[in-house]
Formats: sequence, structure tokens, C-alpha cells
Amino acid sequence: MGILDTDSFMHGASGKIGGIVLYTVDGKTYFRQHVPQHADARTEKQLLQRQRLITAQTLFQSVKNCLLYDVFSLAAVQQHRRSGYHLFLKLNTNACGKDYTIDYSLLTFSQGQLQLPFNFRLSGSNDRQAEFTWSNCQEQTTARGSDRLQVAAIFPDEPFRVKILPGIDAVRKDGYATVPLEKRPGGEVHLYCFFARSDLKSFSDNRYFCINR
Amino acid sequence: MGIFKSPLFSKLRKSVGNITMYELDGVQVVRAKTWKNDRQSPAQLTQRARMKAVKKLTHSLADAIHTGFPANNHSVSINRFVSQNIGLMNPDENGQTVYDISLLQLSSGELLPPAVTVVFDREKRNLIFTQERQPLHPLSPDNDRVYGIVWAKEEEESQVFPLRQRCEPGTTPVQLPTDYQNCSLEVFAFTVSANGKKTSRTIWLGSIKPTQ
Repeated sequence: MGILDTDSFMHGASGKIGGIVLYTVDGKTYFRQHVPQHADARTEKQLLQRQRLITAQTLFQSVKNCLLYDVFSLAAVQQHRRSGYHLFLKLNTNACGKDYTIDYSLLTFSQGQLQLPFNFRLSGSNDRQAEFTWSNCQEQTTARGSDRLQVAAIFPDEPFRVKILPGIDAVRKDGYATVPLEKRPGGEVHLYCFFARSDLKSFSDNRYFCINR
Repeated sequence: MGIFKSPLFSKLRKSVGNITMYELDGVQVVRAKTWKNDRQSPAQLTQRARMKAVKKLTHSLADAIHTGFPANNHSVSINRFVSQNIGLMNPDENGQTVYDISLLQLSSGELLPPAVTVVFDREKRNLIFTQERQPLHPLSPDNDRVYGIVWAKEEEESQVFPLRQRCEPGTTPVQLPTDYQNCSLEVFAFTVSANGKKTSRTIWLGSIKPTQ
């Protein structure tokens, strides 16, 4: 695969010339050899990689319908990625394994420039709620007192669906939060906590917690 | 059968002597002419009866097969249907072929089958498909479309009804065509991915006799 210079007379071209295919992605024009027939070797490694990719894509299906989509779209712009979808796959494909398994502790649902508070801990939990505490750090541009806590959760009955929990009013200056949990079948609940600026234009990285109900 | 690539003979087709050349799915194929083989061994007669029975089904289930075995070419869909179902056909000594209709496959693929049931509403004379919500899974995406297939076996006709998406629980009433009102119906269901390329296996929902 080659890349055409921007001052080339063929920059921006797309199509096929003989055995050479030209296409443009994100303003760059590429050329490569045309492959007339796709050879699907179906090796063990290939099949594993396909399973991992499908698992990550399934997780992204639920991300598309909530605040996390904005988180990834914004992070993609900041990191010069092609889209939030591509950034999501880059961050989370490695957490997916054989036979559609997931290591939930490796998943990332938020990235950004806001700061996570010090001593961010899960202080207690029961069937109905989880309690978090953190140190109230000094006000600064990357950590305002009005930054709101957001919690993304994966419940055991829907292990491929991530959801932003509603009804959380805690902000950074509170230093603690009580997060109501939905009534679902017992098992491990995976929580990903992060902070969002009040205008939802800036986010922090997430911190992972696991509760066994 | 041989496959060749030649700039000079890229559009060559038809026969020269015993050699036949043609283009198949974008590749150039050469093969020898076949001789008529009409052996009457019991195994061959059984295989012919099987093939005859399964090919007969393809006429009445054409739309369902095209939906359940997606391919660019309809003959590829038919071939996949035949390969899936020819093993079900059991010809007896009288030449009659019997098969278990609940095992008939109008689709095949890695997707999970739908969670759907069907009942016949005798007052309104329609079928009611009831779908349950299925959890999100790599093999059961939310946006898969569930299809119900109603096959009037005696009339040798069938209809494909698109139902709800996999993530939408609820009921879908389906008005039966008037010529289906007096015949026995077999009802099947399967799912097709949003891009129409992946399918699940078929589940048989039951036999319905509107006259009873």
C-alpha cells in the first residue's frame, strides 16, 4: 500500500486503473494492488481476532445510544483518531477473548483531560446501591467542583450491554456519592466511574469497580 | 474441472471437441464434457429421489430461501438450501419421500435463532407472532430482523413476513392471504442481520390448521 502526496495530480482520486486500486480516506489518497479473490484461510488466529472484533463491536452497539458516544467522539477528535468508533475498538478489543469472553477490568469507557480525584474508592455496596468516596481536591481547570459523577454499568443478565446509570446527582466537591443500582438478577456488576464537566464537553478517564451482589 | 487465467481467452466460452469453457463467478473454468450416467443402483435411485424431493421444495419456498440463504446469485441460495436439507429426505421403497418438517432449514448461519412463538386468532383469522426480548450478544445484535415464514404445503406456496427487530418485544399480527384460509400451514422463523448478510438457523413454530 502506498500514499500519494497531497501535491500529486492524482490526489483525491478513487477507483481502479488496471490492477491498482486508488481510494481516499481522511484526506489521504492511498493506492494498492487489486485483490481479485479474497482468500479466507480461517486460521485459529484469524477466527479468534474476528470473535474479539465482533465482541467489541457488540459492546459499541449499546455505547451508541448513551453519553459514552459523546465521550468517545470527543476523545477521537482530541487524539486525531478517525472516529469514536475506531477509538473504542482500539481501546477495548484487547479486553475481548476467545468464545466472546470479556475481561471487564480491561474495558475503557471514558477518556479525557479531566482529572480523577485522589483516593477514589468503593466504600460500600448492597443489592440496591453502591457508595463511593474520594478526596475533595483543590479547584483547578481540570478538576472543578461542579464536575458531575457518571457511572457506566454492565449487569450480569446483559453482559454485552453498557448503560449509564440514571439518578446520580453527586458532584466532585461532595466527596462522596450514593449510586442507585437497578434490580437485576444476582452476579457481578461492573461499574466504570468517571467525571463529566457540567456542559458535557470534557470528561475524565474511568475507574473500574466490581460488585458481587 | 480446471480454472485458468489468460488475457487472451478471458471471454472464451462454449465447447471445442470434448472441452467446454465458461465463466463462473468471475473465474474462467474449463472441463471435459460429461457423459450421461443413468445407472439404476439402489443408492443412486435413493439419491435421485432425495434430490427430486428437496428440489420440489425450492419452488414453493423460493422467497424464504432467498432471504434465509443470502447470496448475490439465487442459484447459490438454492444450492445452500439443498445441501442443508437433502440429508433429511428419506425415500421409502414405493418412491415416496418422507421428512421431519420440524428439522427443515430455510436458513443457516451463526446468529442465534429468534425467541418467537405463533398462535392463530380464529376470530380475526390472522396469525399473531409474539417476540421476546433477547439480551445483546455478539451473535444476537439488537438490530437483527426476525422473519416469519408461512408455508401452505399442500398449495405449494409460501410467504415471508418481516416481523420486529430482535430487541423489540411484542406481538405482530399477520393477515393471512385468502387462499391460505382453508389449508394446513407450517410456520417457521429465523433472523437476518441488519445488512442482510448473516442469518440464524430456522426454528419451526408449529403446524396450524385454520379450518379446525
